[in-house]
Amino acid sequence: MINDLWAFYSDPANHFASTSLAFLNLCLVAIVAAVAIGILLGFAVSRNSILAFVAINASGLMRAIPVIAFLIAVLPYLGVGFTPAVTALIILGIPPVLLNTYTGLRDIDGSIVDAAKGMGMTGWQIITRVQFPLVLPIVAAGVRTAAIQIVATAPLAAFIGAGGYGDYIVDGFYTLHTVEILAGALPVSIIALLVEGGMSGLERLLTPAGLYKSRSLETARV
Amino acid sequence: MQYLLSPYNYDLSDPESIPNLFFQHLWLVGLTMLISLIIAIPLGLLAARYKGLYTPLIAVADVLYTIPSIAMVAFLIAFTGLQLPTVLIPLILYTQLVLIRNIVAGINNIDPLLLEVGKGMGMNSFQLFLRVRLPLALPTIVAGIRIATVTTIGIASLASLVAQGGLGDLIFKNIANGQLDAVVAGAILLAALAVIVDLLLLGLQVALNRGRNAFAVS
Repeated sequence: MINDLWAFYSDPANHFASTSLAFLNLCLVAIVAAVAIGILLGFAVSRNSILAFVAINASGLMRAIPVIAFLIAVLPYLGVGFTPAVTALIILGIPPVLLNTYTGLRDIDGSIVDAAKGMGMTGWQIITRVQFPLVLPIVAAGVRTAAIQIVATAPLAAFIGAGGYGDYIVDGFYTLHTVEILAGALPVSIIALLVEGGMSGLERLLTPAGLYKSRSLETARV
Repeated sequence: MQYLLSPYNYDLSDPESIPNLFFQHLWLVGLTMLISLIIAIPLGLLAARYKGLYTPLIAVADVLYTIPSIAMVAFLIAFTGLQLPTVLIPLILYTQLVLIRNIVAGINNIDPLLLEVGKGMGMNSFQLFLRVRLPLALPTIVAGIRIATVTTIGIASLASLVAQGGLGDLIFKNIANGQLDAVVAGAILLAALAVIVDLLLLGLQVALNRGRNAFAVS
């Protein structure tokens, strides 16, 4: 089996290098964009309770809709290829980041902000020196969820022509070629596990030492 | 939309008709949840009792949960072929993380004061479990079941790839030959099923809470 896999990867007809690049590119663009939009929206929404209500419920609903249904739903509007796939993945990645940014900001103890005000900090200083470090680990947890979701869904995007390892899997399923299916599944799994490991390390790194103990409960949400 | 509205697609004698695929999907999800609960409940109870068991159990479930569903189905195809277990095993493994975590959280996150009161009323440990812990833990456990079921509804569409039918058939069988109408019908039905089941179980969760901070459990 390992020999078969090796033969598959080294066969120039299978374009392993460019397929890998396409997959990594798809994931990376989607993750970066989803995180940026999610954090911005989270901050924006935290200033207005009506917007917050809308965003929270829309995000909750998004979580219920199956990923594959979502990927398919954009197909008639955006067509096939890289752009619709990346758009679907971005929209998929926004809710966890947005929700965590919002709840993180909301749950900051009011007295901490008051103390900062009492020390004479300006509004900007309060955001950058108090709120931002406190909310960072919670946002990081959201980023981790989003990143894993995006990496796990990216192979399915091959069904709408996004390329990457999903191409091997899809092609393998249609031709029932086990080696080709495995050739796609193996790197996808490895990348997913690496992202999970790296992100949980990052999350730990960003958590201020004093908050570490009390946060163990926070990660228990899915 | 035409595909969804055309009466030809509701012919019950046709195994590919919408109602038949729908029930096939429900059957897959039901079977998965049944087996998942049979596995997760004893594991969760054990992990709630013996703290040392919790961390390794969750770590294993977490790693399994991280592996993309389509990749896990792909791995299993090499061993179990185009059979029901190829899709059933990943579905069951995926539910374990959230089920075990919520069972343990539900049982262990109970106000110790209430347990003291139960003891003070002369309950033995079995009564304490059945009459205090379990009713208080149920909403959290149902919340876990809800997330697991909704996730399963989505991933069960992959059953189509290993010839096990379900709503995924509408999507995967038609996407290759460009029948977008049928594909979209599949996506709409899948999303509608997930949202309806989500709301039903949310209702159950709120009812079980009996007025205590109804929306606190995620």
